[in-house]
Amino acid sequence: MSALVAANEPGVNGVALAVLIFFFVVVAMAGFWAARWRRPTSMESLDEWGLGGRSFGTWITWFLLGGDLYTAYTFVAVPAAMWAFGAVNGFFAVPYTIILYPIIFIFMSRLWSVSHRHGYVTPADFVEGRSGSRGLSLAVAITGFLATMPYIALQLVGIQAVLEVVGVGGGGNWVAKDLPLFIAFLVLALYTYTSGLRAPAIIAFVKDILIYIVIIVAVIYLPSKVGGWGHVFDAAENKMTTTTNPATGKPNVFIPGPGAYWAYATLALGSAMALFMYPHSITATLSAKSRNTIRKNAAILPAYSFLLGLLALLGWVAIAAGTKPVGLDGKVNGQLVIPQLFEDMFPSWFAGVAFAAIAIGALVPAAIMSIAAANTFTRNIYKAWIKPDATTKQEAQVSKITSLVVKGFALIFVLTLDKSNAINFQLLGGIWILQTFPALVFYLYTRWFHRWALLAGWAVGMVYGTVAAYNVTNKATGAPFAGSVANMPVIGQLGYIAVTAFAINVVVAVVLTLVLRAAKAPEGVDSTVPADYFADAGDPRVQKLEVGPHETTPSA
Amino acid sequence: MSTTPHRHKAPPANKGLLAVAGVLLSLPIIALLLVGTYAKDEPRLGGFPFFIWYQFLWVAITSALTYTAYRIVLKARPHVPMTPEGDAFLDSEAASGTGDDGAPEGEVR
Repeated sequence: MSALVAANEPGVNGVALAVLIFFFVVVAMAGFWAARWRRPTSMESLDEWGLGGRSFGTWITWFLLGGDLYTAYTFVAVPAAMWAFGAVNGFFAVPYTIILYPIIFIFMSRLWSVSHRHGYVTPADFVEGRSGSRGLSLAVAITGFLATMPYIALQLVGIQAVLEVVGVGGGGNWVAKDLPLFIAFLVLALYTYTSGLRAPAIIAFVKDILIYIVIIVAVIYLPSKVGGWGHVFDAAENKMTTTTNPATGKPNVFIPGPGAYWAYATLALGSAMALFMYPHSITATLSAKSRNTIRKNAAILPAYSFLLGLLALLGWVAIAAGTKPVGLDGKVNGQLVIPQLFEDMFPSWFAGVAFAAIAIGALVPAAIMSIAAANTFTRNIYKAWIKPDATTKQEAQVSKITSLVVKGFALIFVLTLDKSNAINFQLLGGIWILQTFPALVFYLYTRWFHRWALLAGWAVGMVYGTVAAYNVTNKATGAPFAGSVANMPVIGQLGYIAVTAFAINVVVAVVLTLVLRAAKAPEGVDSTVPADYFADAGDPRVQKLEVGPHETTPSA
Repeated sequence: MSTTPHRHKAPPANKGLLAVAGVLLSLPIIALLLVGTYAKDEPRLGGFPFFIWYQFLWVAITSALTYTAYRIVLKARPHVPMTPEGDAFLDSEAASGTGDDGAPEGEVR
């Protein structure tokens, strides 16, 4: 079949396409089968559909989180940034995903415990329970929802890059061009609908194993074909020191100079603090079956960071290999550099395996993100504001439908948007989501902050971050939102806008807390108690929040 | 606020051990944020610039530090199960024993 396709349509890599379709079909079947995996008595609750029954152990969580966090962004955008602009734009992903784990080690087990006790499904659920403020909870929910949307779209860009290099999607009309992507997403939407979080959990096994194989083969095999690692770095240094970034007008970066230290460090720190504010990261964490699952994972997930670093370096291997990432429209598109490198250097069948790894790598996070966004809508908008007496069954139904709608929006988003901006859109979402850090993480430790002060800090951070990002203009085209670093006030160096906005957010929250306390502004009701933050599997769920557990008689 | 104050408290912890875990966890964050200490080409290792292989090295170091911190926090604050009603801890013996590293500084019921 593959030979036939190749013969009929020049430009289409038939063997690679056949392998890609094979893996896609396998994964789709696994996705539908997942509904029967660890079969629950009923799928009709968010605990089952949206959190996989809160039952995943260390290894399933490792695959699930790895599949969730290391997305198409990993496989396409990071090496693309390395190839085009160098270390500051691309390699910061390595320190980012290293310091990520000590950070989440510290607070995620507390979030797991309190969510276990109170049945929280989303970060905004916790914020509402802790602060007693529906407004603050809504702010957290909307931010999570908004930040997740471009992230889902980014996954589509990953699939699109693969399809384009294989030679599919070049038809003149709209239908022929976008149909493969449309079909892939429709199938994804259907098995997510039926199987919930179990589907990406199963598929993550396939995805992660494929990607480990592909990257290990790539980093052993490819450098030897282009003259060894020493030559790769020399070629990268040569390109980076002789070219400039047209968007910023600044030279590209082989190794960051003193002027870029702050940018590199703040990009890593800000991204690391932001990642587990995203609803999809929290979804994967809360699906774990015990408090310490996430801590154990903090020690073993860095394996993926190692992989990510190698993958980033493939962007520089492509420089040495002279890869020409030209799209079907004849224009240079940096997003295509890794798929193109694979197609140029690997035998067709293995290129197909590599493409499958990237495409499936996009499906897993897209599924989890749409589930997380749907849960957020259901719990914190639908149930909180529209239908407070919704049953768990209705919640699950609304969530399932929302997951379809969310994917539809992402599809429109990606088909109408300039794709080369995928990474910057994701970073804009990162600026927003980091503004929920105080409400979520500070509240895990203290109720000192006043709920209104946290809300005000969030609002100021959101506005500042958005305006500052808008003001980063592309020097070549004059377009706004051209990057995520800007001059930091006080420090006077370039830094990640999210971190600056976060600092302003915290200052506003602290100052207003002092003011509001002095004015004796009313506190919200805290439905949690300190012991909740240390609960583990087997500890009972709080049954009714209205009847505080402290009102029941303790056993002698 | 409540007739059953012990119900609200966190399980006791050995604060010293928790602090040690905190230090282990902060090491990678500090090291990697000091970009100036590693943003250089030489010495290369197998063709890899120092900037690259140093950060790869921290992947392994961080994994080891995080695992060590995990073992430490398990010892520093052992889990104390709740009663089926969730209104008290089950075992006061477990709550007061935090190993042989001195008396727990957390409150003991």
